Amino acid sequence: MLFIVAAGSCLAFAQQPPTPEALVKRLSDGAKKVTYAGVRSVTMRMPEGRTRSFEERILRKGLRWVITYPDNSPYAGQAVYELEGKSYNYNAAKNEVRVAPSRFADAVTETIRPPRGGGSLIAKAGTTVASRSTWVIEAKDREGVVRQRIWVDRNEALILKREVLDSKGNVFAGFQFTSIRFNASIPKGAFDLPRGAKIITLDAELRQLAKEAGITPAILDPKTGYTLAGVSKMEVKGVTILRQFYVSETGRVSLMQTKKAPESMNPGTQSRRFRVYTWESGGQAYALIGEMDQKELEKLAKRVKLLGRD
Amino acid sequence: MNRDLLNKLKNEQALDTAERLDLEQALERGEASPAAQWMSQLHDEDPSMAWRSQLNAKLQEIAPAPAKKRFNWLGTSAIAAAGVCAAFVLFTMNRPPAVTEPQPHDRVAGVSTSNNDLGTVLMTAHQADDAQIAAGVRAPMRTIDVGYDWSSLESR
Repeated sequence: MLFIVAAGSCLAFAQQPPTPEALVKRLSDGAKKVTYAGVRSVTMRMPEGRTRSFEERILRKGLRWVITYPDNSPYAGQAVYELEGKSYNYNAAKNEVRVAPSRFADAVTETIRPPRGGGSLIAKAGTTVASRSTWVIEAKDREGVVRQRIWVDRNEALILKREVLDSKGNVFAGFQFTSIRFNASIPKGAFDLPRGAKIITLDAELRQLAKEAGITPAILDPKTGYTLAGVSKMEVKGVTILRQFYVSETGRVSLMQTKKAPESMNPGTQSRRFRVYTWESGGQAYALIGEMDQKELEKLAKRVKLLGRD
Repeated sequence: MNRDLLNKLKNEQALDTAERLDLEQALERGEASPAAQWMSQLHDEDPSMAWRSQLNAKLQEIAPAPAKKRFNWLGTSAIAAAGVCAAFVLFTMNRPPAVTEPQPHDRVAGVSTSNNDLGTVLMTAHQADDAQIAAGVRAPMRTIDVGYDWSSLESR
């Protein structure tokens, strides 16, 4: 009888989740060692508000990744390589490689932390993901609203599922492995970039998109510590907006630019998390958006300069 | 970056992966090496994305104009009268209190671009990018993209 009670106690103790900090450390320490072949489903809300879902096939060895897409995917024929802090999006049809800072390295090594402005991390038992047992960590903001969840494999240093949530609990972006094989045999040359493809840098893409939009491009001074991570343009109410996304160790900001805004680029009501700073200069309208206070944004806005000028 | 690379570029010889990465990193840093300077002076012959907008313009030109419907006075009047009656009944049955409290809402979460101001759309775009970075996911460029939004047709 005593044996049964003792065994039950041991089992209960074994099922206690580690602390969030211990799990985060395990993920960070093991990121360089984990090897697998896996299939995952990715969901993200696009800037125009629609949700997009697609499947990725991943080969990973430590911090080197290659992602490909099934034949019926809208991204078939492309591959995304994550190598030494850079991301290379290869498009076979165009025989070109678009280069940008890595999307995954930080997400793997920094994993999860309380939201800016305060909050907490909680670890508990998670559901089974891709037939693997998990611990789940929740990041809550100061109001107790869950902003992010990650499902961590109980035995391997890997996030099997991740959700970044809006204030109403809807998934803004995330992924979930549907099948995975750890310590898979990675084919030789799997991480070799295709030879002979044209390389397109973000800087070149920015110049090209600005040219098409008839906008004189401005950038955030690299001396601020912010690095350009993405560039695109969008049409809103017949107006072309040039979008740049910057990342730094302390935050992430968007620089929006247009020839002449038809209305204020500042939303009528400020978000709880994000702030907007808008201004006009040289016949162009600008907006800087980030998760920081207004003064900090204003300070950054003063470091925006036309491309090619010091 | 060395002279060999500059000569290779000038002679339009193929670069190996390491050389291409060196060149790309030098360009990103704005390095003042001879090869980087030579590259920056080149005219960018990348096929312009403008062909998409030209294609869209052509499609719009050849698209058939929506057929004009004949105005039916009798039918329209009957529908309007029925609508007024229904609205009156609903109004009297579900009359709201004279004063309503303003509903607190987050302008960022769950917005769609169809009925919001420009600022909110831009905020949503930032939040989408921010969430993708936080989750470590990205949407590549569509492999085949003729610049038309098919989602409204696909969802029917």
